[in-house]
Amino acid sequence: MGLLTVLKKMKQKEKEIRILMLGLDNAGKTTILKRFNGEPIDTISPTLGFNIKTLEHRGYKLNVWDVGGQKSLRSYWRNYFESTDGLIWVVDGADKRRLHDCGDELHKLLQEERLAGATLLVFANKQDLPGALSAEEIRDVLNLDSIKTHHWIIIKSSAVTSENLLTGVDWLIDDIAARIFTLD
Amino acid sequence: MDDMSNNYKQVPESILKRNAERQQLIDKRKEEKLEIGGTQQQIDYFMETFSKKRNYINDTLSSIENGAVDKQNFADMLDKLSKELQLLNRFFSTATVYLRVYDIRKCKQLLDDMQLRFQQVEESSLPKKKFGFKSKTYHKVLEKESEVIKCEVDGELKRPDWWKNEDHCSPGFRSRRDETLKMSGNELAGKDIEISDIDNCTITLIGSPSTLHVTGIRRSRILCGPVATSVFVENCTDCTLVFACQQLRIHSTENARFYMHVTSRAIIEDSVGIGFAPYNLHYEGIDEHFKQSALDHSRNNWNAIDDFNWLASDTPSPNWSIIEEADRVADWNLEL
Repeated sequence: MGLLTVLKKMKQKEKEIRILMLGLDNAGKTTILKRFNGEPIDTISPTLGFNIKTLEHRGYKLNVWDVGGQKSLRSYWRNYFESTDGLIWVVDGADKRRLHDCGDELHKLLQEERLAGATLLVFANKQDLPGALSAEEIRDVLNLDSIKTHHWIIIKSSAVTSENLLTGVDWLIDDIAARIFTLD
Repeated sequence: MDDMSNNYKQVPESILKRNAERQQLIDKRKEEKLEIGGTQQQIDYFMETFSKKRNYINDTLSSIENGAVDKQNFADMLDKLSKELQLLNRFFSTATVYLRVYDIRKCKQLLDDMQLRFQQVEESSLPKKKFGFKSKTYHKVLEKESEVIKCEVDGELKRPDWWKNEDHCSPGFRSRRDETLKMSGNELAGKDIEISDIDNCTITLIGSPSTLHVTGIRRSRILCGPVATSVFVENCTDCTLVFACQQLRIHSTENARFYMHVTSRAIIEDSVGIGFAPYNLHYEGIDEHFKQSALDHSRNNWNAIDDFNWLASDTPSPNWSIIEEADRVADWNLEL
């Protein structure tokens, strides 16, 4: 985050935060977004491109970009990296088979220069399913402790029951705000 | 009259003087700007000065290393060198405004090398407080740093010890051949069911699981009640799958038939030869299971499929088709 960006942000009266939500397909990204926005979740189709929502929360304006996670869409993720303040990585806690793919994709992402400095929130999602791995277990498998380049946290969540969605987003906002808006 | 004309002359004179001063100031600012803006001349000047200073520092360091300097002068000499290095660093950082990126990188490298060499000379020549451990620890720190960097670059994933633990497997069937398998009721209700590595089996799931994962199935048939949320199908060949669900994703699958009820839109990716037909599984209690799953019975998009490998909207994807009514299986012969 350059000084100019900071100044630009300060100039804007509305405190705008850009959040990018990524993860493998079937992780629950769109469901989290809809749930957070209070929309029905039983009609969600697999995301063909991306969804963008602007949410007002705690006086901040959150621009949330939810990009589809299918294999053929992942190469387009980088088109959304620019000026991202926060990254939400959604993990299907019940999908053990693809957890390593999930870790590979995440670590690939974190080496991305344009995401440098972005705060990382990992949702260990689908905790409503009885077989879902805990946040600690997912932290181990994804080797999150090796991340030194980003502020990060992992929080267990369920988009279906809304568990911890608010907690996670609040932490993300606090961390980003401490970085960007402290000069106010 | 004379006085008057004198007055007239005086006024423009003072203005002229002010104007001259102003002009001077502007010129001065212009010059300053030029300095900051940078020209080839400046770059050349910097490079020349930089290499001169660098040679001087390196020569002095060499002479110290060779023992050509009196031991008494060591401290003074090193002190002076360290100041020179600092000056050169400052000179370099002010010059970064107009230097080319390549030059900046090159000079930074040279400066770092010099700094390192200076530290080594300093450590080896100054009286040692304790015998020779200092340089060793220094290297250790360096090694550690490169280790950390390497770790970040690789980002390798290690499997934790508990990974193989069977407790962490979802209910379902794994690695089965030539069998008829069945699960029902509470074994399924609200659970994440995983079916993987199956060859030549018939699997019947009478109940309402929360999600269904199907991977690596060959020459098999899977019949399932209403799935509350999503079904994920990957790497399946020559299969028939029958289920109801909210979301369906089909990946890397070949020659498969789906009899399904899907309330949102299904997608296929990297798949060919996929046939679709409406869900026609009937068994006693299926209405109850539909209720459990909270699926909308009236909304079925079984024939509205999005193909990630077929973006043209005017022509239909060649990767999937609707199974002709005459070719559909009408009765699944459920043995309950």
